[in-house]
Amino acid sequence: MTFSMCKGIAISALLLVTSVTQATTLEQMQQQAQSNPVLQAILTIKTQAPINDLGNATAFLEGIFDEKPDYQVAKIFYGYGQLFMATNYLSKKNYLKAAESSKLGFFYMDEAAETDENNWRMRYLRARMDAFVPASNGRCVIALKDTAYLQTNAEVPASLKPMILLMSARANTTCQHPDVAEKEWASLAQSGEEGKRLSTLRNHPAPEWSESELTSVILPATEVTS
Amino acid sequence: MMNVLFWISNAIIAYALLVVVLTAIRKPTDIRYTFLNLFRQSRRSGVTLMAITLGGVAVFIFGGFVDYSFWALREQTIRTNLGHIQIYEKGYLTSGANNSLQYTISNYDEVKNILMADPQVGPKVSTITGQLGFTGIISQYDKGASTFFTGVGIEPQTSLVLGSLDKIISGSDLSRVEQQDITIGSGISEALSAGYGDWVDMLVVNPEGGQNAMSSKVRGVFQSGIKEYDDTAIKMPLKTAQRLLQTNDVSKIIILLQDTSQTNDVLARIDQLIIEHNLPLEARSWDSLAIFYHQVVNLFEGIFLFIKSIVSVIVVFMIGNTLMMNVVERTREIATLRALGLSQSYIGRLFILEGVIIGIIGSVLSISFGILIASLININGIPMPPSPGYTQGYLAFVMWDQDMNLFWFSCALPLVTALIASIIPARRASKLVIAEAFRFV
Repeated sequence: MTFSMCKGIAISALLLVTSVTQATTLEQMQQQAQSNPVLQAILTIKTQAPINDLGNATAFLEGIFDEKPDYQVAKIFYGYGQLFMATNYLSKKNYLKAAESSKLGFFYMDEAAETDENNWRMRYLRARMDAFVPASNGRCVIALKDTAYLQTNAEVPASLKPMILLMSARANTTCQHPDVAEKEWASLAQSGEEGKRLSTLRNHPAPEWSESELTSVILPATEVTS
Repeated sequence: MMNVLFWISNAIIAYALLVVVLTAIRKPTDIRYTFLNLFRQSRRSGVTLMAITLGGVAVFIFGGFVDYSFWALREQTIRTNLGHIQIYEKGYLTSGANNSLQYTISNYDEVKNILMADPQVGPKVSTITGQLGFTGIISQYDKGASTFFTGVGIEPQTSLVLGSLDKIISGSDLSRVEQQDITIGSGISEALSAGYGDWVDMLVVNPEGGQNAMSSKVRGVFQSGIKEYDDTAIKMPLKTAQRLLQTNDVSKIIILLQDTSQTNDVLARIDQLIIEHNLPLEARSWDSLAIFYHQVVNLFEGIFLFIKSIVSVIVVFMIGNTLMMNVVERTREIATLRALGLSQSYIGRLFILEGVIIGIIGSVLSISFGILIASLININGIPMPPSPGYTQGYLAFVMWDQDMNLFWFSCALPLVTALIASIIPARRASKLVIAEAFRFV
């Protein structure tokens, strides 16, 4: 009883510390975004802003990759934007628009990740969405492929490994591989403080972006393309 | 027949409203007396109104449900690779499925440019794509399984919109990057035990009659909900299909419009363009290609007509009964009014007015409760079992705000039936013999 209470307090403290650090990084990014419209659009989409802002941000990113087709990060976040808009259409029971938007979203995410299959950041960003979407989207098989690639890629920073393990465990659960998923959940709980924190999010929606993700994935990806 | 009934009903409604308006202007006290007489027996009138309202609400809700079902089926049909308009080489439609590769369009880009440049067609087009249809055998040698397929080569990006209701149940849609990858229907996936990432081999007959083969990786499994389609369909990028069949042509050009209601205008303009540019093509709308849709619509319309008829008969009897009871109870009153010098037609009009007032109240209540119940149903929808030929159920809603005919009918049903039902009681009341009526106990 006492142990579980302590564990709960420790996790809460850890979450608090993480969120404070993350908020600082996010503030820094928001400051940077003032001079970088692509980053600004990405942050708008990442925070799942209201539908009008989301629409403007995705339209802006579409214009960017129409102009520069190699702007893969713009395609990925355009895909994210379309998927968030699809959720909005779904809540309004506009099933046709929702179906079109979600297809468009996954299409551009795939295009970005497949154009440069060895760009681990694009594969990470795709898995970051695919691992958490419902089973009915059928994306868990792609999330498993991407997380398997990320787990064996030496370029991926160690700080991202727990999150990759979480994504793999979620994808295995969605793909009805309960044995593999259980092993990964157990392994995640034993992989340091971050792993312990993430292992508590078993049935939760996608966690907030961590500081490591912001600095190791999003910022470098936008810098490469800007 | 339906048009005749529509105009007769409109005439009856106009007459009913005219009676109320003229009475309100010339003798407003008659309106007051009508209400007092109607609600003298408040329980009986309440039951009658409830019956009318229930009938009206039933028709309103069922009509909205049918409208939604028609709309959903229509859009599903259009967005399962049918499109709003299809353009073929002349002779394609009459050639039968076996010779489809003999009638192909060789100048797809030119036709597309003509259509998109036209000011009446271009702005209304949501997406336009060439499609190459073919058939063959698909196998997965590792599992020793083979089956027939009907394939379409389609531009990957346009297939997203045109096949937006082909739900991907595993993997992805077609890609512009991985051109060798294909997507397969859920039925084929089961038959071959092939899923995401598996390799399959296809054997086809090219337009010259030779055999071509190709290996492809499955990048996605889709499910439209139409069993026949899911059991045989595969999709691949148009360029890959053209390479497989050694042709640069397309079987048809498919156009998806911004709105289904634009179909006839755009089709007429395309026919004009075909003649103006002397193209050996013919265009068809989704309406003439979707045979199954029309079968379902006809079936539902038959059921709806049957329900409307039953409700109308019940309402006529309910109102007729109430008014007839009023006549019987008020026989001596009627005799007094007649003895005071009121004419037969005036007495008759009083009872017609009662019927019309009941009808108007019934109409208002039907629409009000109909909208209320429809709104409640639309919060979560009603889970429905799969339609005939489909494998997936759907969530049904009541589409009440898109169809003026639904409002018209829900108002017309109580009003017209009430007026018709009041004719016999009114006639009976007006024909009463004064001396006999005074002796009535």
